Amino acid sequence: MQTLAIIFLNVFAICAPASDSAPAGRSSTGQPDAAAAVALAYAQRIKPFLATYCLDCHNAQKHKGDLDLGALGGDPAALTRTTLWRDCATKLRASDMPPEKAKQPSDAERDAFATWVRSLKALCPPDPGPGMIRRLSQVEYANTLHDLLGADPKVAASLPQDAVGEGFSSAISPLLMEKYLLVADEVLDRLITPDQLTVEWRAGQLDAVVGGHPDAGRADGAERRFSGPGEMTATIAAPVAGTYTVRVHAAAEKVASAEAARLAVRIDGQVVGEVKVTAAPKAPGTYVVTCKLPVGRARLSLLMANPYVDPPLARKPALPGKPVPTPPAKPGAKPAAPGPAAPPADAAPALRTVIVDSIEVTGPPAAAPSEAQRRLFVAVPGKDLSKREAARRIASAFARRAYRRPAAPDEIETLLKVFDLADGQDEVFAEAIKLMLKATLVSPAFLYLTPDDGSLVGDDGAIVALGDHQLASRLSYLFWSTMPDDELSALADARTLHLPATIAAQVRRLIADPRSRALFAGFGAPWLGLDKLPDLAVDEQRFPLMTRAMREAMYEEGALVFAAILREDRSLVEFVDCDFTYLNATLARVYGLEGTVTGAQMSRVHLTDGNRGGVLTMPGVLAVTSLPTRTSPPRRGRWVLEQILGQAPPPPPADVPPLDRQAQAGAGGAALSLRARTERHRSDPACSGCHRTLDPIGFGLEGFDAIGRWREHDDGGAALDTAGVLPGNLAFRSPQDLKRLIAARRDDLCRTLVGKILAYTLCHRLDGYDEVVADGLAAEVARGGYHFQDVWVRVATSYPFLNRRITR
Amino acid sequence: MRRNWLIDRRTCLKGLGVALALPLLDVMGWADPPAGGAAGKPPVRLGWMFMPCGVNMKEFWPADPKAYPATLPSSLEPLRPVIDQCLLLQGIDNIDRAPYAGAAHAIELSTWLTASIPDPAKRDIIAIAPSADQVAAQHIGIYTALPSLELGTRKNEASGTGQEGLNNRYYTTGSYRTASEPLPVETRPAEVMKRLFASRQSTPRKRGGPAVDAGQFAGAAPASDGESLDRSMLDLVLDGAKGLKARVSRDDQRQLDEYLDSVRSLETRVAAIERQQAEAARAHTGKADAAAASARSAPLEVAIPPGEVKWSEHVRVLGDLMILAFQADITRVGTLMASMNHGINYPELGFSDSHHENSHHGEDPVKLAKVAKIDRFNIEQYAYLIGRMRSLREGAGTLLDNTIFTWGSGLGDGNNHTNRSIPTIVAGRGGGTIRTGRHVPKCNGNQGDLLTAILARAGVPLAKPIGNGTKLLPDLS
Repeated sequence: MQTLAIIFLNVFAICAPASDSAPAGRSSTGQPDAAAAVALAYAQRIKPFLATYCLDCHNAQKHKGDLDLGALGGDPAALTRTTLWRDCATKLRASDMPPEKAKQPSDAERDAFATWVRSLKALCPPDPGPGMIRRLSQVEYANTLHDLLGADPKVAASLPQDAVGEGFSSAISPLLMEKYLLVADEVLDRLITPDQLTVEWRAGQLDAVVGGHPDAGRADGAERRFSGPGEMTATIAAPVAGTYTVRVHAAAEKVASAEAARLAVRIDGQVVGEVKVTAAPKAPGTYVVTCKLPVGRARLSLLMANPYVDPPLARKPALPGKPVPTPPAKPGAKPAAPGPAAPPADAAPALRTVIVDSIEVTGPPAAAPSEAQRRLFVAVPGKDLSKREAARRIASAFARRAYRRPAAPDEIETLLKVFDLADGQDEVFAEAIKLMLKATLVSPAFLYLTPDDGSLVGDDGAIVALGDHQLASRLSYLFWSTMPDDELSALADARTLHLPATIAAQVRRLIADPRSRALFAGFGAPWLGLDKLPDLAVDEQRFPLMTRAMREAMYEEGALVFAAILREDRSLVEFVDCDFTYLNATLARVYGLEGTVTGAQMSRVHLTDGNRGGVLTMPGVLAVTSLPTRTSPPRRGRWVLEQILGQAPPPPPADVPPLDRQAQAGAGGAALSLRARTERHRSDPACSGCHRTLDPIGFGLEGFDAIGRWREHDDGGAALDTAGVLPGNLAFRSPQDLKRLIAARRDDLCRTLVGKILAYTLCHRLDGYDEVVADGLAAEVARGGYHFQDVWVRVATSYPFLNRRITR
Repeated sequence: MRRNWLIDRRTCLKGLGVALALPLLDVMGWADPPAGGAAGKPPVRLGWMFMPCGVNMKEFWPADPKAYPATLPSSLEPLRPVIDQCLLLQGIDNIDRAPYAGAAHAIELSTWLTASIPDPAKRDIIAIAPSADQVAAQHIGIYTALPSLELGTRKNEASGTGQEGLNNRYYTTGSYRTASEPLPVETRPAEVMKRLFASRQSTPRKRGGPAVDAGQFAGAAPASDGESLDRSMLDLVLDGAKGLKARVSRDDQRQLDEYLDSVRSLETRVAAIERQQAEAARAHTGKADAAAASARSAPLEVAIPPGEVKWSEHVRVLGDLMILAFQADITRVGTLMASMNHGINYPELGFSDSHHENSHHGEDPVKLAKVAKIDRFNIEQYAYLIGRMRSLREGAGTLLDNTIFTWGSGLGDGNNHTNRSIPTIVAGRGGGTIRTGRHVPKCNGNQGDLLTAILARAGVPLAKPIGNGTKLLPDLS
């Protein structure tokens, strides 16, 4: 027990502050003294240790597990492969290595090896990493389309979900590429709607039914004359739903009647309006009907509404909106067959004659251009501006925003070639621009965050500062998950963004903006595990409270507490111990505050129960670290170690001796509590190494059930014992005590958060020099009083954030 | 109006909860008789279906091989109606996990179709090997509108690293297009349908004059032999990307190569869809072979259940869509990750503790019984899909006769994460290349050999075996 406690303390004490975090110069080695010490330690202690315990298998001949530790140790550069050595230390600590049958090192020897591995980072020369171009994540892509083109971010909902951060894959699969093209189509189709519809037909071109007989239109047809019953029909295709204007150019021959000739306008058989034709054939008139059209195809027809002069039988005139029987369509149908105002058999009334010249449909009225459209069409071709020149101006302006940097001349040329392609096919200007914009949206310079043009300088291995535009993108995507706004872009254009004071001011501005909620979605939720809430498997019978609304409230609580600590620039220690949270009526039931908080809206609540407050006892966190049917103390313990104190225990061995195989009952026959059973299980030496550290923390949180409600008995009904001792003989009795003990480890918490934030920011697992940087940043944040905004400012002005290494 | 990649409005409406009828069935390229010859032989389709965490071995493997199939282990009971169509393969080992000790569930899935382990030197990124389905897609996927289809009931892990420092995507990804490119699964049936029936009208719209609805005259529409505007546009984008490539670091150039490769795939895909459209137009004019059409079943009707669905419904509708895609020859390669290990449980079975929790049964009879129930439930869905394929006529036989549909898990017994004797069932006769109706108690090869043997039967030319395979598994025929 004594030895284990020592190991534990050692692990907790890993953050010796480094002397500096952002080297002024570029030295090729790390700290020379530290390097010498590491080399000395290797020669004196580690080399013999490897020879004794490891090299029997991991040598040049056997090469077991693809690992030759002898060769590695002999190579000074290999000593900087800290990930590899760290894996070795983890295996040693977990007693995975050496294998059971081999000679075993003492605990002190294992510990010494781990200490040496931790010192290795001092060997690493300053290196910001290769700074790979990075694809936009699904969320970033959606937000960018919104800012760029006013698109609804939902258009990207069909893309595969991903999230930036450690382990992010920048690969663009063919599926993703296909979706990019689809989304570009959809966004641009909505943004650049076809021009207004304008169609005109000579009446003679249209098919008609005259006096009950079909009469096909002819391509060279001119006017059409109806004497008596008749109807002519056109097919129109409305590009969008809306109000259209139908203009009929027509005249009527004079007859002796008080009533004028009337033409009914029908859409798909429905009368939508009627015109009185009064003009004489010498001077035809224009008659106008406006009507609403649905999107797509429709039949537009003109029907003689009163073909007979003074019909002897009173007939209702065709009224708007009232269906009128369709004229017979087949040849050979009886003339007397249904038709409007059929003449009675016993009379031969006078016929009206109407001459229709043409029909014209226009619409819908042009809407005022949207903000996105105005920003897009910065030039319109006219008599002083060629189409191609207008396209060039549009391409330059749009690519500047879409690529988040000025486009290179060849990039503009590519876009213009696309414009020419469509223009050469007689597309109208807007359609040709649309194809050009589509090309922009599937270009690598849009889909990836790319370096500024001209920033690839120096030899292989040279370290260069990020260009101002790339920096603007880096900041904007980090805090807002979207493209830089006008202020950031202007600073980048002025090449002043990279000044540390400017960055710091911008970071605080970006944080103050509501869009910084993106930080929670991108970093906070995965850090706390709350991103798992929507799909978390929970036994609904046992926990009927765990509804969709509850899951959402739990997520929201985390988001709001995170935002409060961030925006109010509180101490990051408050993540572990604070006296406020955000609740609505749903979540208040978990807190037992259902009388106090009402309504669906989350509101800030001051907490008086010292067991609550902070992420350790936040219901969402307690839920995601539970199993579907019950709590799991080791999982909760592991979560605290990993996410708060920064120490990942090795994975459990595969063949776990089961809890349940052991006697469920104690000596007296009483039901053993989960704790008692788990502690028996810990008597197995293969398990005790990790569980001695995991379990006490987990049992300290057993006062909360699998969805975070306070309780007095465990899932099996046994009375709870939530007291425990942390290494260092730090005893606690309640979650409140436990929180205070963990909060007292503020340097561990600070270093963990800084490390996680740096890895999130850089999109890779920290290795080598990154660890040196993280140590330094954490020390500075600690000196400054642990302010959470300070973490972000320092990360955003850190060496790896501002620089990249060139590879050739 | 020109709207690319539109699916037919009718399909769209029907996708919202009712049945879908597929109009393009008579345009399958393979069914067209070659000039002066008989109708072509149907192609072999490859399907895979996965379950994590291994099985309750006692309830899965026949206790007495001689009594098979008269006596079936309880987990295999749902297969009884189609047992003559199945081949039960015992004794196939998955690749050894070393040097990893943990992360067994990341490795069981990522090794299942690759027969390779993640590169231990690059754990936080994806570095493994192309999976067998993708190797197949590269060769036989070029004949269809979709090279392959990746389906699953649960979303892929977004990012992050887990046990052994391995990239979290390994936990949820079975298909790898290249060693570094994990393929996401589509979980939403409506999205799958959109993808299967993507269509496009690539003729540029001319302005003025009476509007003509081209769809009405599909038979007369010009078959788009020439490049559509979008394809030419993609060509220009490809060309233009070379400029960017010259301005970035070497590491970034590799990224751009992947991008360029995907754009080229997209061009092929666009061309394939255009070809399919043109053939559909031809079919509408009555030029398709009526005799060939009569030899096939009507297209499978797939109903997409609205709202939240149970796991079993979800698996079935995704499986049906895969079968429909096989039947209509929209793709010949499909994977269905019916379940994955991140927290899956089966409330439908009346208990809610997770599959994983129970799989570490420690010989506890209660947990073992639950594992057997879960195994059986997964097999039940597999049996349903086999039955569907058998019900579809194709050529002289059924769709199933021309398919190799493999079910399995990446572990043997989940309790101790063993990679020994991983549960493996093959259904379908692979165009007459597989002898079904048998149980092979001791197979002569590993997972790589099995994958190699399956690919060979679909006519995939291989320069070397898949993953750790060394030969064709001899036990299939």
